Amino acid sequence: MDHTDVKDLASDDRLKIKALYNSFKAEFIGFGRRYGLTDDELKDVYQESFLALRKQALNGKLFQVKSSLKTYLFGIGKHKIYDMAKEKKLHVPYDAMQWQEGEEDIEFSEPPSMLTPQQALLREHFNNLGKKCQEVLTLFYYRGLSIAEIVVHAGYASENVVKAQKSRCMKSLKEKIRNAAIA
Amino acid sequence: MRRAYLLDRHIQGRLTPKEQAEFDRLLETDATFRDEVSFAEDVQKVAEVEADANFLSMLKEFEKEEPIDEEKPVIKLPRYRWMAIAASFVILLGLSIYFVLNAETSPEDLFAEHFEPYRNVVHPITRGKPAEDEKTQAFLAYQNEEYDNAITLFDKLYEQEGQPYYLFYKANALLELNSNDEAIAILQKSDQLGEFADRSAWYLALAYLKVEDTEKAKEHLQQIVGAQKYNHVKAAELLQQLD
Repeated sequence: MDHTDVKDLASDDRLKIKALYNSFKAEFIGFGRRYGLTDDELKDVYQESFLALRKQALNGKLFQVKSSLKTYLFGIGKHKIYDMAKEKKLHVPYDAMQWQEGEEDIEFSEPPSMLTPQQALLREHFNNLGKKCQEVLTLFYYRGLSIAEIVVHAGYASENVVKAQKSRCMKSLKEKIRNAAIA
Repeated sequence: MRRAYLLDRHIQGRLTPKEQAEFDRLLETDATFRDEVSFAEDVQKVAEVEADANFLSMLKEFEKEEPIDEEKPVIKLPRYRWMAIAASFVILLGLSIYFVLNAETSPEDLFAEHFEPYRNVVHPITRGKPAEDEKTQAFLAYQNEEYDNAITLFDKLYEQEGQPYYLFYKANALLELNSNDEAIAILQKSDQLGEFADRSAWYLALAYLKVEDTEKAKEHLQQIVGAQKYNHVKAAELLQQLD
């Protein structure tokens, strides 16, 4: 797979992501129409597939994939189209869903399971944090970047600044939860 | 702070086997540590859900910036072909006008033609697995067209979790059950429907058709077309049928 594309996909560069998003969209929708789904439904499927692809780029798995980015994306999309067509009780011919060569190694994480009530509350408070806090917590807790990597990625002055910021944000989040429980 | 170090390594999946053993021991013996771990895991989950939602809304913005329009190949045809094509359009147009003028389609027919309860995109259900939690039961009921049951569960879940999408799905179920006014009341408050606000406009327009308030239906359809919201192409078609 072209490593430049994967890097672009994992970046926060809006323009590059948009270029990738648009480069496969029309073909994907044209491809999906033969399964009887509407364009709006296919647009949703495309977005979900593109998100799944992005997550694979973020966790580094895409670097090991041999097939092209497009083949991989369409592979994810096929699974999702198939699920939706089945849910809508549309007939999907078996051979139409045959996987092509290079698609056998496709694995993608399902959307994360639902939030518990406690997590839903936490999400509200998370959203009320400042942008810097949200960024540092996302990079550390979700993206799994090390403190040193966060210094570079988010342009901090030093590791100590990141550490201080991270613990301040966690403390503030805990306080918000505690205050909500008391109130 | 050894504990904080171990917790961070756990969250990032970087514990060595030795550290893992130390981590497990702490987890077993220390209730405060357990709470810390569970809080950090919750933050991890919330950060992921939030990052995914932000990414998806960026993709939706792309759609608004450049409406989807596949590249159509330009085919050059000889002039007489163009004339033939133009002539057939004129005939087709004539026939369409004839049929439209002669057909009496009631708003309710149009509703039936266009309405389909919005599919469950919130909570994917794996078939064959027992419905363990209420959320799965709710969406399973919805998919199985047991709308009364689904509404009861959506209400309960909305009260517990406050997720806006429960309201949106409830409105869809209400339309199926012919409880139109109740559905309209929910769909009107699009600011409370979170990520489904965009879609709610389409369903609100359909709901007005169902109660035969054609004027209001048209008003909302025009807004959908103007703002290129969800189903704007269908909305434009429907407007033509109504005029």
